[in-house]
Amino acid sequence: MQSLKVPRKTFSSSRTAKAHLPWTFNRTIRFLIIFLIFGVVVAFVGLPIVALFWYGTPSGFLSSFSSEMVVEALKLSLVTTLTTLLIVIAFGTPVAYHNARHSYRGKRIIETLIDLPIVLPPAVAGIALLLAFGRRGLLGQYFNILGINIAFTTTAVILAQIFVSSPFYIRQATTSFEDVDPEYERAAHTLGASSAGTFFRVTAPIALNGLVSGALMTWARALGEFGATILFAGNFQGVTQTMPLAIYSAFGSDLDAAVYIAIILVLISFAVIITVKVLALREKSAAKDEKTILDQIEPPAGS
Amino acid sequence: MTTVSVEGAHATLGDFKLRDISLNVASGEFFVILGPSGAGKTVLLDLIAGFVYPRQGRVLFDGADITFLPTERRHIGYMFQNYALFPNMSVHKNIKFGLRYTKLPDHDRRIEEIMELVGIAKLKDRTPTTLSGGEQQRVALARSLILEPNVLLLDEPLSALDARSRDSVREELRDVIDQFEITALFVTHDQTEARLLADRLGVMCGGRLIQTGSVHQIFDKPEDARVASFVGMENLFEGAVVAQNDGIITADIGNATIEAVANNERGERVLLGIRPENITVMLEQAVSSARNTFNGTVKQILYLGPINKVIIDCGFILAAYVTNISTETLGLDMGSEVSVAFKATGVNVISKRQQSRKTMSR
Repeated sequence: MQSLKVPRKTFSSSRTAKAHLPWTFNRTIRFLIIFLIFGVVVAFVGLPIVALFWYGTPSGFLSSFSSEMVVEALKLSLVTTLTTLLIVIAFGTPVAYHNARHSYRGKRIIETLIDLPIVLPPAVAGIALLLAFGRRGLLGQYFNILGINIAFTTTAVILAQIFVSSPFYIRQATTSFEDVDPEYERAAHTLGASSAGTFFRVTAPIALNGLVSGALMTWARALGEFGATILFAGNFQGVTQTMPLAIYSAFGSDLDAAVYIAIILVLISFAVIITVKVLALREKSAAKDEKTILDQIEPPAGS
Repeated sequence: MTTVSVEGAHATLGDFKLRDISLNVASGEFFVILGPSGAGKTVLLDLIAGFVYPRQGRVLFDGADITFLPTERRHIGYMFQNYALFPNMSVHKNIKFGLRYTKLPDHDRRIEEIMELVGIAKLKDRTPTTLSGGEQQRVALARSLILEPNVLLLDEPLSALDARSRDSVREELRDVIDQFEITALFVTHDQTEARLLADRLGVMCGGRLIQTGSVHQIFDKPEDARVASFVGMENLFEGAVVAQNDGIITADIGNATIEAVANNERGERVLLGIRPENITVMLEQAVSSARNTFNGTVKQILYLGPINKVIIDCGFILAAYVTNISTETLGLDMGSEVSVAFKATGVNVISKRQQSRKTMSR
């Protein structure tokens, strides 16, 4: 019955103040059409997920952790994505903060460039990275002279992940910093805090929910990175074979392993999306609290 | 305690501009900056706080140039319009925030004392979003004062409060600030607030500081037409001095002549200002010491509450304040024939020459 409520709401809001319309033939037809569309949308996303879990068994899931390939892919994915996350936070935070607080010439261009990887096909990113950092690449040729090789190493995996996933954090962080009233920072300065003190004690804590959401989105994107990685870093077990690549490799020989890695990734994805939603909800209710309570004159003590 | 000086400062912040501001605030003085919105009052405060740097000119604390000293090293307190309490900290932590940057001893005792002083001891563990406007204001004040700042800057701190609590909070604010013997600069657009709080005040208009002086000087002896109209000197007439006799001038304003206590010379252009509360309204012309008496007709009565504003046409238009009781006793209504009187000392004379010199220097 819960799902029935959704289309009904759509009806009443499209026609104002007609809550008790009789069930005419027309209305029934419209209701059925919308119900069907919703059904298709929900099933289309839900069915493949259900299919994944349908295929596996709990014991099979657990025994997959004894497969060397699965364990190595899992380890590599964790190490590379966490490194990616640290680098993106370290470089992305100052960029996001600066963009949130200042306007300068060329800001639009820089922002567009930062966002570009979101719409760029990962395969294109892979080729581009190869042409930049590969053995004969634009910059890579000089690294090569120094005896440093980047392509087809774990470093390449991390570079590919940073390239495709950084926009998610930087975008979210910029918005979150923009939402922090600069007056709080000024207040901190008048109380004696330096710029660094102000950032770590005031700005970042106030923006924290948004920063965490952005970091989680970046991490999830890095974890799922496939196209750029396989082109730029290759697919070597234990070195560049992250979980998505392992799914691809196992797919031909050992479908079970592929499915169980996929299930791990689905579970992580769920955890990420739920956390992000909860954080957004908390943010919203905090903002609402602030508003309603400011409207009151004298709230009860100790609430 | 610290003296605050601004010397010939020009600054821009967004659409707001400061032009050639010079100001001296004495140690321990409560100085009010009064002006309409958009006059640049907050920019002046921000300049003193170090949020804005001037294009030209200097800011001095106790004679030392601090024009480009970062805010955090100025030892100032700043009360924001919306208090800017950190939403991620409890009341206690907000108040404690700045202590780590000071050499003041006994943090815990200080926090307790100041919370007691401003009456927020029981709010210790609350978060700022759950406080009323008045409570937030007190927390913000405690957060600033605990650091024993040299100067306290207040940007319309009462404007976010409802009318009911504003009166009591204003009194408390002044009391607490007096106890700390601190130099305070208070920005407002509310002339009543300015009158009640100020030791001395400055009026700003269009990015300029037009006049500074005591409450009496500003409200009764404005030197500029904009100051005069802003502080409620509603009756303003342009005229020329036609006679000068022992410190009393007679000025021709077109349809009438008005006598005023002043020393302007014959032929000089002047602006005459009369406060509505200095005009007496009677039914018949009475013998009185008032040198200026006119007969006229009531054009309009604005019922403002305990006091009504009566607009009278006596060849020129005069606005006068009449209490509710008097309005009834006199039976004033539209079209009533009345006589008005005001003293020569109740007329403020602004020399137009002075005026035009100021205008030219702009």
